[in-house]
Amino acid sequence: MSAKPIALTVVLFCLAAAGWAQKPESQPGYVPIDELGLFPRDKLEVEINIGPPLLRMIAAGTKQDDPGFSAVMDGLKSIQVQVFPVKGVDTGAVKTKIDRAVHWLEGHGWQSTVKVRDQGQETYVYLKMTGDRIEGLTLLSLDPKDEAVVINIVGRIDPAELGRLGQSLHVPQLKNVPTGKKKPE
Amino acid sequence: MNRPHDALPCEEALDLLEPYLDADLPPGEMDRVRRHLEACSACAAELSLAARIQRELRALPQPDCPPEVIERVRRAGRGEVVPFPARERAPRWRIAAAAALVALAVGGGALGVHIQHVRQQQEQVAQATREARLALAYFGKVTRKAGLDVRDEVLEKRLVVPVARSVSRSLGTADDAEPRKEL
Amino acid sequence: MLTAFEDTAQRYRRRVYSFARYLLSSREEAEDVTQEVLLRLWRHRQGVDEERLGSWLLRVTRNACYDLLRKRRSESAAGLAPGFDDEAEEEVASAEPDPQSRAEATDFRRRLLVALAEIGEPYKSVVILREVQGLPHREIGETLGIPEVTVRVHLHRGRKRLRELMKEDVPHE
Repeated sequence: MSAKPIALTVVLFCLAAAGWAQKPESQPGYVPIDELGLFPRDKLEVEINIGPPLLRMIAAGTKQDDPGFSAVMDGLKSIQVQVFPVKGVDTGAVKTKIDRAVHWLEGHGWQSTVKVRDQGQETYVYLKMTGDRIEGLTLLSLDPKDEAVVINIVGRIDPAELGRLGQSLHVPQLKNVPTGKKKPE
Repeated sequence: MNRPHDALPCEEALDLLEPYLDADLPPGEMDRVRRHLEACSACAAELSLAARIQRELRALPQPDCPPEVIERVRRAGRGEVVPFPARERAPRWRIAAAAALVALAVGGGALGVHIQHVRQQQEQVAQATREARLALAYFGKVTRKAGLDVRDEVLEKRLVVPVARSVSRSLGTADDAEPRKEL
Repeated sequence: MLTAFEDTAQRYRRRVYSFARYLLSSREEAEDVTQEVLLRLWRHRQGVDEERLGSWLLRVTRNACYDLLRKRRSESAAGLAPGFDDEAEEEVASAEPDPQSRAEATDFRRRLLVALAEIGEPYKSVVILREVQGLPHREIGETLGIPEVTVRVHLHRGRKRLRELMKEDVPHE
């Protein structure tokens, strides 16, 4: 595996730092995964950070060709993903960080939905609810033979649709993963 | 005093906000809407939004066309043959168009969007779309690895449940043959 | 003759051009349409009723814009998507006193323009002519060939549609 991290963060609009009342950070379903410091950023294999304006553009641009995907994007306010390859890494330290993140989530009113642990692999899925509405979804996982993943999705979430779409897509081989320009937030 | 038979449902009030703002309703209707807004903070908030939208629209600039356009028309009027300027007719993605429109409104008529810049934006959106799909693919990969059918887990059983009852193997892959232990 | 025409062209150029800009969201296409419209005015100058000149020009502008949009739609596969010019970031609503308000105001305006580009006809033309250009209802009716009462209905529905598209901006208490 290439040691070079592939940063895929795209934030198209350079908004003023404290600018905007509806920014994702103010949404209940948002998790500041950067601040949680789960993984070293310079060693990430994948880093995705997409905010509301870009999500709207994605929804509009895919409406004709992929209406299901477009509809999911349309309801979202933020997608954050970090993937950290853990081969050759002390997974104990990673596990500690994930446990800390789990505690953070539980301390901030997130509801545990799924906890699976098997042969060292751990997966947690948490939901942020407002009444009956799901406002955020966070997934944390560690596969000591492969990678650690954190995903935070904010917005109007239909987990069924998310799951269906996600499981119909495939993570490409490393060499095919597109690289992108990382724009400062 | 509110009379029950006079009460306006929210759905109707929301339909009347714009004419209410323009004072374009008969006096009786204006009163009904006003009373509703006094009692309903959600509709009152919508009215604030409607008012802001109107203010912003009215504040949008009216740009002037560049003088060379008039010059070309003038020359045509004098009988000269004046072709339209050669444009780089790249595919006109509306993303480019709306970018120009935003440049117009935020910066007045002075700003334009160069084709090159527009193409960069097109590429950025295409890139972001790929990344959004990648994000979902990772979600699918992890949940599949964990032997989870997200629909069952998340929608219907929002509590941690023993593996025997909760874990659905419907979307498991070959390497999911090992039984999972749930905490 | 040319002088009189030039006067007319000068008087109406801004109205024609800005209408085309908001309909097309493209500076270059708006320039082309403006040139075309003013050329048509020159060619038909004898036949146009001077009292109705303004509405005639806007009607011709609108038709030219929609001809272009139809042509564009057949060439392009992309759906409508908002864009943003990074340069425009500098040109923010300067009335706002602090950076936070300015950024928020800029973002609101940006999203409003995207929404305006999304609402269909006949609402879009009416909203532009009334709210952006400030034309009276009567003149809008003449331009679009509809009764004044219909202009008001379209205007309210168009702004309501904008409000629905801007819904996340409803202020919370």
